Amino acid sequence: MSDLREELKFKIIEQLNLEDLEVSDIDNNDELFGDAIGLDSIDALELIVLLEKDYSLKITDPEKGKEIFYSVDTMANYIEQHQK
Amino acid sequence: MAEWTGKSRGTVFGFKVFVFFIKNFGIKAAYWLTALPIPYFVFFAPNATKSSFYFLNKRLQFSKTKAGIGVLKTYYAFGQVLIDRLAINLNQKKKYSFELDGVKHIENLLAQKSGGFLFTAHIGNFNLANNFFENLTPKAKVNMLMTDNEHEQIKEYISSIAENNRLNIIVVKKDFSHIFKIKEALSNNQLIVIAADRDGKGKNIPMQFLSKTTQVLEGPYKLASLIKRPILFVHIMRESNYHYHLYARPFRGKDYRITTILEHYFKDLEEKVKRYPYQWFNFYDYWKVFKK
Repeated sequence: MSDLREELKFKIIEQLNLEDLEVSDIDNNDELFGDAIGLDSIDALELIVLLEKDYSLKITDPEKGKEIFYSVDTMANYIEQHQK
Repeated sequence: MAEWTGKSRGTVFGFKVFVFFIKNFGIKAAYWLTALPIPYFVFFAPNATKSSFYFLNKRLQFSKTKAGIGVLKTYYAFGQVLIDRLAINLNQKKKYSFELDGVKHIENLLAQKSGGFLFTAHIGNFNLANNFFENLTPKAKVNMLMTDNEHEQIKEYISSIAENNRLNIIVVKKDFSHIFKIKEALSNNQLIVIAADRDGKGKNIPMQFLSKTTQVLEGPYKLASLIKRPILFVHIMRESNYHYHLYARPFRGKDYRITTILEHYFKDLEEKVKRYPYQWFNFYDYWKVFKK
């Protein structure tokens, strides 16, 4: 289960070019768009594309998006619940 | 003045006065009315005046006299553009003529059925876009991306007087809901208009423009680079009273890298500002040359 979380952290860092961060710097519950990681709205688009491409999950509801992309943990939970 | 603050000078009261003039005394009377506050702007909006003078004198290499007169021409053109926008929205469109230049590129884009981006700048009168696009086949739905802190009251007032308004506004929100709206619009073969000429909150990247480096917000370019849909560079320039010229040019870069899109767009923009020097409406320290 934690593998998925580590994988997501790695992908987030790689995809978003977060050169200053290591996988170990991101806590499962860190707020991705808050002060801890500090992602912006274009980064959100990258995360949406990441879920589409790598996990075949389409997110179209902004309200759900807010909840799903809250942290690595919420992203992983969503993938685990919805991936066939 | 370090960066664009996101506030446009003007009030709802100001708009109401102009609307009253257009309705009761005609468009030309309203043009004259916009000339009245020019002396006020010259002295009481020193940053705008200084920025406009710097643009004409240093970046376009106009003489000091020509640049000085050019500042007044720029203020007057800005007023005229505003009046035209209001007049057209007040159902006086038939008084205007529009030249479509490169419309086949817009039609080609729509035929691909993947939506697309229209990159534009704070020059000319882009808010007239809906008047150009409503005659296209297939009809083009245009969405304009705007920042949250642009003047809400003015936005609301413009849309309240706009008749048959085909221009939908997508507001950039902190909760990134706009990203979903952009994706949905593109999937419905709609167009997303983005002003791609300014710096702002977020990551800015350097760009050589008119022989001097400035900073440009990376967001619009990153968005286009990630989504990889067709991009057009579109500018609507005022050529004479009641006449506008729309330029649409396709992005033909070899790849969708941020820097490739940026360089191509600014090359197109440079050509337009040289041709229409008095329609540069970035009234702030664009090249960061003034000391605070």
